Amino acid sequence: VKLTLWMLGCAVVVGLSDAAAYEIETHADVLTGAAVTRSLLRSDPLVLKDLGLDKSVDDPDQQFKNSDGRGRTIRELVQDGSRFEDKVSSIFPSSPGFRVTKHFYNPLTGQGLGGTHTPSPDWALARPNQIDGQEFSYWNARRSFFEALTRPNEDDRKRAFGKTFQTLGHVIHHLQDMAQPQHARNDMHCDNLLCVLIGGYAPSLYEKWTEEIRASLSPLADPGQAGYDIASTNFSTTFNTPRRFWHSESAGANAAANGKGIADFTNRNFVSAGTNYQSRSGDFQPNANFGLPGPRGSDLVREQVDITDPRTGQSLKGEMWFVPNEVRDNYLSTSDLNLRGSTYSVFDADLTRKGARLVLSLNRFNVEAAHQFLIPRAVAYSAGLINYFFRGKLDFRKDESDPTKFRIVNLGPDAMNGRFALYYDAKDGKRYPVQVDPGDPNRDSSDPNAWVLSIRAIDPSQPTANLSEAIAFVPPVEDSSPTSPKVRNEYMLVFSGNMGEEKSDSSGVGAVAAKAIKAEINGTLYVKVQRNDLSQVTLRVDKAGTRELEPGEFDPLDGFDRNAGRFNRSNWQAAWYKQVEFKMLPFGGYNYQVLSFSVPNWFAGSYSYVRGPDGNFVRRQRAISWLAKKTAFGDFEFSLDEEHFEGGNTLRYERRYTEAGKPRTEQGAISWPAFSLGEMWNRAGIVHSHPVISADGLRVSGFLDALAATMTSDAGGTEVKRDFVEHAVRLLPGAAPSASLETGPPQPHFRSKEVQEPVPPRRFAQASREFVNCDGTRGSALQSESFNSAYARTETMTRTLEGIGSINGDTKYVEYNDALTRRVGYELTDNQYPIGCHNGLDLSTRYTGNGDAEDMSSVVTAIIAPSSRAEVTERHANHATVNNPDTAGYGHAVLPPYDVVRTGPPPWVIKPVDPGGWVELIKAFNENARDVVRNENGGLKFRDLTVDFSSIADVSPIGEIFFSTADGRTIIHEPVAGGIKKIVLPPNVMRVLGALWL
Amino acid sequence: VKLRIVELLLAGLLGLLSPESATALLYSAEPIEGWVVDADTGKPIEGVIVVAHWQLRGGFEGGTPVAELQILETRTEQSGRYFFPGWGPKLALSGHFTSQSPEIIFFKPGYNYRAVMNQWYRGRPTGKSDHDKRTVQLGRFSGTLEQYADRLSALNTTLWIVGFEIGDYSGDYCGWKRFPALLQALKAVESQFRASGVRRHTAFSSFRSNEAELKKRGCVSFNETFEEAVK
Repeated sequence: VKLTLWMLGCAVVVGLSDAAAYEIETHADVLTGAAVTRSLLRSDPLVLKDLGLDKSVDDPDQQFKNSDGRGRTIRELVQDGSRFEDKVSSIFPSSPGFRVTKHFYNPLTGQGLGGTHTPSPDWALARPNQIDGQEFSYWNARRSFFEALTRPNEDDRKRAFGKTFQTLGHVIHHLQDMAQPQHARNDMHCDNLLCVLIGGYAPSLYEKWTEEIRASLSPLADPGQAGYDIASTNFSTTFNTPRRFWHSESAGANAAANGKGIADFTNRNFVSAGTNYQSRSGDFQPNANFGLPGPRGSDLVREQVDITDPRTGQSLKGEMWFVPNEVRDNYLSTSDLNLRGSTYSVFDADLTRKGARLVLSLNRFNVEAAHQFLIPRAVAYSAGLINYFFRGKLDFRKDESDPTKFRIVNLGPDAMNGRFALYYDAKDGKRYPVQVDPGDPNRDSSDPNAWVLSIRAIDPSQPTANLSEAIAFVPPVEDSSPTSPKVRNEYMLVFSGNMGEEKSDSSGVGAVAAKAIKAEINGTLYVKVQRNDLSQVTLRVDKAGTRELEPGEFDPLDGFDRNAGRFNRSNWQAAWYKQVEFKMLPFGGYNYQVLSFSVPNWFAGSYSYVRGPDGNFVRRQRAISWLAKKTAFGDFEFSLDEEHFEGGNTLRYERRYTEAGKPRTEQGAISWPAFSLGEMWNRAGIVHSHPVISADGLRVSGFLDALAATMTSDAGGTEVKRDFVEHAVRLLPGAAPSASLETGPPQPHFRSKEVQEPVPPRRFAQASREFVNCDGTRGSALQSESFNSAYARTETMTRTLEGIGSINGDTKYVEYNDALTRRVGYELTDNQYPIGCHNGLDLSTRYTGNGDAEDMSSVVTAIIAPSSRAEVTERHANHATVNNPDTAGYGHAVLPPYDVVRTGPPPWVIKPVDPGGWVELIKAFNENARDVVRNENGGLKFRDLTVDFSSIADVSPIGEIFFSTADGRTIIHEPVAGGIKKIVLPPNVMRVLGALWL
Repeated sequence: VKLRIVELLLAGLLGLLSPESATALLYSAEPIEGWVVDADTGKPIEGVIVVAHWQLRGGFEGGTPVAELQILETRTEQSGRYFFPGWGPKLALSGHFTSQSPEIIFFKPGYNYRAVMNQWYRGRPTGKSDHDKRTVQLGRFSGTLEQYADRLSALNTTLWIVGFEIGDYSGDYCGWKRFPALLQALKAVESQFRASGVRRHTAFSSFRSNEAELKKRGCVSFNETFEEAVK
């Protein structure tokens, strides 16, 4: 009893209220759910990936526990937080049970409920331990975030991630509360018993009605509905501290020029039940405590309304008088009119004539009118704060001038000044800090595992301004010890400190940002197979393993037809072309993303796939389609009809961009430049070979136009020359893009020269072969011949030759190790090969002789390739050694099938399998010498496999190989470490039909 | 825990005097009969899963769901008709019966789900649904599976609270057992998501992934129970 009385007393003292600004499911579903959807957590997968979280906010396979210990997805955690901020309940005033009294804030005075309770922003932005009972503030989220990245124990890190996301939900709950006028005007409302006892029972119609029509509010839960572009620089620079999301100026100001926070907006533009206008004899005045909004009493809006009386179910018709007011948005600098700001009639005109008083009140019409303004903003500010929290963006690069050092890149909007540290995950499951190089001048004097750095924000005018100084660290020892790294070269880079206006203090870690540095390789291998029952299915091989695609799931090999014409040009590989974007990894190697590709199809010619705005591939038929992303004018998708690439065609495009916060799409078409062609059959490199589409999508090349061949003969031999020009189309992005033709200068394309080299005197060992009779008598010498035998010593001269050659339409750089062997001191030894006596004749041979021998070289063939300007010269006895692509009837030299964004010398070097022998190079898949199909002794070989043209192969853009015999019995699949898992072919597969590595 | 019990008892005590608690500790509800039709064609829809739940709210702040007094599930007949029998009186020691109850949820794959509740006004009597003898329209969903998953997000939250989380106050964590058909349908929807490479989930896997927690809270295995219910 004592406890109860004490409680009641406390309740009266603190002015207890039922103050869930929106009912908890409105918070969770309508507002927070939409905020997560509109935030970078959902729209930019890299935000989570940078934290080491590979899956989306909704992925059920990525769950963390909330404060109640329940597994929840990231979205659910944020939603939980936004519910728990009201739900958490206990009975002591200092406990979170009274959180609800901290959900009020009057930005004009800076005060909370009743002037005695902690104002909403003070509560939501309290530093850890600053306010008793508050453990879900913005700064608690920061601390949890830091722990989620740095705690040694994985369970602790996961728990901290759960708390981070949940706590963000608690915080944005407040911003949503601030979009309820009663909360931004300290207008207490209550439907709890205790309020009856103290005479303050006043349920909020605003909240009840909002809850009731919750399901219909979703369309409003879009910042764009109010013209807010939360991704804009204007938004991020305006709301550059957490507090400014509530209130952008100091308390007390009430001028229209300031006040851009959500509490400012709601406070000055909307009345609430307890802070309505005042009316004296029809003369409307602002509320005595709030100068704004100002009623437009002279502009009363009279409307005939027809509603159903919920008590009787009867239709209720009558005239209502609404008091309009101006709604000014100081952030957008816009002004609008709320025609139903307040209501001046609860009774109809007939009743008025009978003497009933008109009163100012609020009803469902006012609430719904307010929703139009407040719901989009509640979502905008909530999503904006989530974005603000995760705005820090880092990268880690190798220093260009000193390869032993690295630089941290600040890719975020704010300068960073503070502590940077690397962590690694060890085999024992724990996360350890990485030691900074003791000689590094930026090492934190108080922490050997951290740098203290100041890095400026991105500055377009100074591309390197956002790089840190060069830094160095001591990599963790790699051995069998438990503390050695689980994965080599994988780190978590963590920043804590000052970021822009977000400052750290002694009670917290400050702003936090992170970057998971991984040698991880993107990639998915699709393999189309035929099963024993003749049905076909595509297998997907990725980091999770091998599985069959489900019906309806994206299948790049759907419709792939290896009998379609274009496949012949591809040879084993399903893709006609791939547009690939590469990214250099800090510790070597590249990651990549395929932006567009094409596979042949019998009916459509080909299916092109390009990534749509959501990152998923969409299919285009009968066209080469590709992307040009992130230009100054937005993203472009270009489509060129498959035929007539040589010119006179139409290049269609779709431009996707954002204007005033609204996504826009425009379609258009421009002329594809025409270019003259010389040798017609040679003309269309893009048709007969591989289109080469640059990673930025603004250059399409591969149009090789061979000029007429010339042939000259002289005493030194016969030389054939054919030059070429290369056409490329350059695209200039713009509101209306343009295309221009680039034609390169004539370049040597093919040159072959047969040269009869001066051959030094050849001294073949001479030997005579004699027959010796069984009885030892000497037989007749039948013949004399040259042959090889043992030598005293060998001198080998090896030359390395490299260049580019074209075989079957595929061109690769070629490196040949050519061994020219001189055998000196050729000595024959006496030898006898008794072969036994037959019919009285005992035959054996004896060889004698001596001398030197030298292999003969007589033919030199050269191909000069367009891109390398390197010469391929191969010497081989009595052979013309490199296929002549012209006379062989194939296409001509083109670049590798990718536009490779790499630095340094061309890596596409092929080393022949057998430098000493003669093989015909049929196709090279990557730069590895062994990854070629070769014609050896009349048969096709891939490594040790005997293959044919029904075999299946593909390589990833970074050269990982997949090769399978048609029956699938022998598969070579070699993903790199950090890439996908090896394929596991189901036992019921009878045939492999195609492979595509994206 | 003691604190929570004291709080619940206190809230129950207060509930006796709650302005909205028409019957205080004893609650009942009248039968509900309604129809579901296609919003475009006006034709009745058969097989719509309909779940009605009567929620007690309370806690110290008054708006927190603290108990489900009743959860009923049925399907529409060929004529689109559904029916929930009346029930009560039921005893509840804590919370107050919100006049907006019952919330009635209509779900059929391929349609936008709907949830309807009573219109609130001060002094509204409890125990009667505004939607008795009414027809509800369901509109067909058009859009991507991702968008469909987004639409279901609110349903997931409701079912999570109604079926489990409310147990934090009422002690009953097994409310999910009372809408097995809805869970079965959501399971099928999830299969569709997976088949299409959409990495989303529904309330079904929210329960399933908290199997250990459910067991700890006194419910038997979700998977076993659910499979049994499905049979």
